[in-house]
Amino acid sequence: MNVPRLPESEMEETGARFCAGLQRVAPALAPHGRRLLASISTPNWTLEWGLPRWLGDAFGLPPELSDGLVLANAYGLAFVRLVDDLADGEAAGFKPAEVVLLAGAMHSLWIGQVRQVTGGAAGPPAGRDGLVRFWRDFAEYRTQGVRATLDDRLPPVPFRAYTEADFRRLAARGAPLKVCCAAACLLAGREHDLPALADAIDQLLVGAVLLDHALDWPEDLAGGRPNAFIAYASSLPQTAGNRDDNQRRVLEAILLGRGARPYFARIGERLRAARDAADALPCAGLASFLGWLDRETAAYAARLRGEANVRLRAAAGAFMKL
Amino acid sequence: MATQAQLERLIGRALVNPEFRTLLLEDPQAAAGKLRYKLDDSQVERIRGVDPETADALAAELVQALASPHGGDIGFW
Repeated sequence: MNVPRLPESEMEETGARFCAGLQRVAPALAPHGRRLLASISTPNWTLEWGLPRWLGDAFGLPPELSDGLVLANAYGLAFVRLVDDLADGEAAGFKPAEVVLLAGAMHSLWIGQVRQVTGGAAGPPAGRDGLVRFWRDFAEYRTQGVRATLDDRLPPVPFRAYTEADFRRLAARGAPLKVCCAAACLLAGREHDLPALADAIDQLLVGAVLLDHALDWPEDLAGGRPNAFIAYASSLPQTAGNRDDNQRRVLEAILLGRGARPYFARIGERLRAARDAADALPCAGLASFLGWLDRETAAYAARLRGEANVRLRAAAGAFMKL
Repeated sequence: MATQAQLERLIGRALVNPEFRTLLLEDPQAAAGKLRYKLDDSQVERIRGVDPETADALAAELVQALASPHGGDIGFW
């Protein structure tokens, strides 16, 4: 099943505005901006491109406001990606100075675009007070993201003892995604829906980060990056000295622990909770995306389990014939 | 006598755990006992006959297959 994406024409239109904005504020960075845009336009960033549009449609916003939110989110995504990559030492293809300058430009464009959308001719229905609340939320979501980037350690307890706060902190790098939620609620006069919507996004982000860790555990283990899937399988600290033991325990969890089924069940719970909230709004696009991600997660878990069984059977057969 | 499923789990653990593999090859019954399984004589004999180096190679192949990057395509801010 295909992921529910924005139409290609809309992606291209937004991309053209993205580039025009950068050309306006920093022409020398335009070629880098085009490369950056290409890197965040792949299908794995579907949620970030689609969410503002889905919310705009759900809340009945005029198309030009939804378009503006999509563009703002693209600038925000570009900025956050650059900062994350820089923090992780992974800004491939860019020199550090280019990343810093580009990030600065993206941040300015993000703020400028959000300001333009939220402060249009008539202003939001909630007036100046609403705007004050919106910018307070904006700062809070940014702060959550920055804190999580600076402190990306795992909770200092076994995975089974993670609290709700621990799970949400793991996913807080994605907190800036809630900026477009706050903006859409503000513009639609539906600020009362923001707490439930923000909670749904938090649940989605927890599910997404847990899935991301399950997909990336071999690379994270090799690169020494904290990983929740490894923590699920092993309570040993994730140090270089424990790397072999941690790998062994992850393999045992996959091979002998029903393909780490309980871990994937937790992801499914989060995604379904988020989907319930999206259905209640209702926001059909977000609900559709969550349904897709839930099915993809379940399919991946089943594939992992199936492959583990096949490999276990084949290895045992081969072993007994040695 | 260990069932087929028990044998698979026993050997699976041995293939991903070098220490357990050594134990299984040296003393199959003791290794099985750690999982509360009981091997019959023919099973013990067959496991004892396994060449450690060949078992290591099989283990390396399995570990390589299971610990390869999956190339995930889910983005995350």
